[in-house]
Amino acid sequence: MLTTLKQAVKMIDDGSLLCFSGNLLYRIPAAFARELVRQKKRDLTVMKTAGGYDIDLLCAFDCVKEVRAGFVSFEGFGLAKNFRRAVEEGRVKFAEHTCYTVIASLRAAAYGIPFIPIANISKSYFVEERGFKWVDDPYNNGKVLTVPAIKPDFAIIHAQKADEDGNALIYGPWFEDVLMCRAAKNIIITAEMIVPKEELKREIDAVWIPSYKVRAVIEIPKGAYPGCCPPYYDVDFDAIKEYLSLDKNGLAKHVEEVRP
Amino acid sequence: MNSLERANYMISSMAKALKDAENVFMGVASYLPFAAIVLAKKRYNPDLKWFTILGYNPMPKHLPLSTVHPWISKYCEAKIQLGEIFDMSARGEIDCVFLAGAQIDEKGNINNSHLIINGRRIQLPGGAGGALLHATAKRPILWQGKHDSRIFVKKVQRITAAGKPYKVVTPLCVFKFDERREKLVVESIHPWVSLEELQKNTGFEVNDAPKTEKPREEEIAIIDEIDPHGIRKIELE
Repeated sequence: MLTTLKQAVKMIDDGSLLCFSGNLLYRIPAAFARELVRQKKRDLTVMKTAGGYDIDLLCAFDCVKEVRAGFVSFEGFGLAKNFRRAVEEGRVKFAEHTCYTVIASLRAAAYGIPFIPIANISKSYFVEERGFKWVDDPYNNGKVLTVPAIKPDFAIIHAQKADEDGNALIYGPWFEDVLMCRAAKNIIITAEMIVPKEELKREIDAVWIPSYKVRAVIEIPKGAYPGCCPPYYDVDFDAIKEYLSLDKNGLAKHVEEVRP
Repeated sequence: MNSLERANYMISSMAKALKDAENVFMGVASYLPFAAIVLAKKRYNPDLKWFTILGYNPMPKHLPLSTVHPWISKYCEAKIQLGEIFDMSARGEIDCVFLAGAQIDEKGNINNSHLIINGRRIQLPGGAGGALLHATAKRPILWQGKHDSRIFVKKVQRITAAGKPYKVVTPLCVFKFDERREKLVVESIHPWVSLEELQKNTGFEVNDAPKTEKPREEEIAIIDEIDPHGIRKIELE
């Protein structure tokens, strides 16, 4: 279970469907994303409510064939230009969702059911584009909109602490991380620190990722860099600005030089 | 009128729209709403409950560089997550929500998906949680830090989120939604803007309206306290 980043990324087949932890620049599996680039993974589908550095980087290196998300941006710092360009040039399909339907699809998978009814958002253009279907409401008159279950091959989670089996603790907001772990077939944990089981058990109230589906656990201090991992470090806002200014050569250098 | 002063008018207008709200949700890249919620809680509506994806009812000391920074969770009173906020809205428990639009049309629809300009696709970041929130919150408040006729259009190219906005706040005016005609009408025009100028910058017909009320000194003092470095300008520049 306890392994290296290189070995863990080798477990990901081309064409896999991945969910990444965190939100925008917060507790993202950034080191894992860089290693996916170094190992030249192809045809990945990445799903997340709101992505930033992780999705943008994979789009820059043509690792991704499809992004399923509600939002991809660097918020006040700028647009996700590599994601944007890849979509505009047709290299990446942006299967637009709203954050609500990403969550609903993960919930259906987590509940072990084939689809799930959702509130009526049918005026939004992507409802038809995604092929979300209406069904007869079997209990009341009328129809109800549904979304299909989406079961990720891997949830890639950057957590603050884990034990050597991969039981993992998250401090602060979970975002959709625990849900994606419930929905996914497999989980990979990158953690700021691997701690003895006894130590993790003392914080049991924050340990919501049990290890039974965890296929690899890797200790990666600053694994969310240039994003943040509270309470240990904040977003490196200067590094984000620099990242957003990089051209193709600069990005290649970035992936080689920013280790892990 | 510099961008800081224009931002103050927008923040004050947004705060006043929260006067009798029970609760409000605000999401990503929402610098003006963030300041407006703090102002509303301090000046107009101390009982207003504030929902964020970091948790429930924060009272942060400063406007952060990101309005969904995990740091905000330290100032919260209880945990709540994004999916649960959508559930709240679907149950009819969300009162006001702030939604931004790269394009906003006369019917109150929002486009944050993409534009086609001269046959070329321009990809936008996506509408985040807007589709569900616009459709189900009781009083969606739309805002946009820029106002021209490419942004305020007769009909959006793509509907990312549809609903009936309660207000639409811009650097030129405040719109409200006319239920009978099912379209936006101008409620007030900011004092530095003429009707001609507003019409020239809006892709649908606008009406004359009273001047927007000037933010009071005490309001500006509260805004300056939460945002001493003027981060709020980002949205207007």
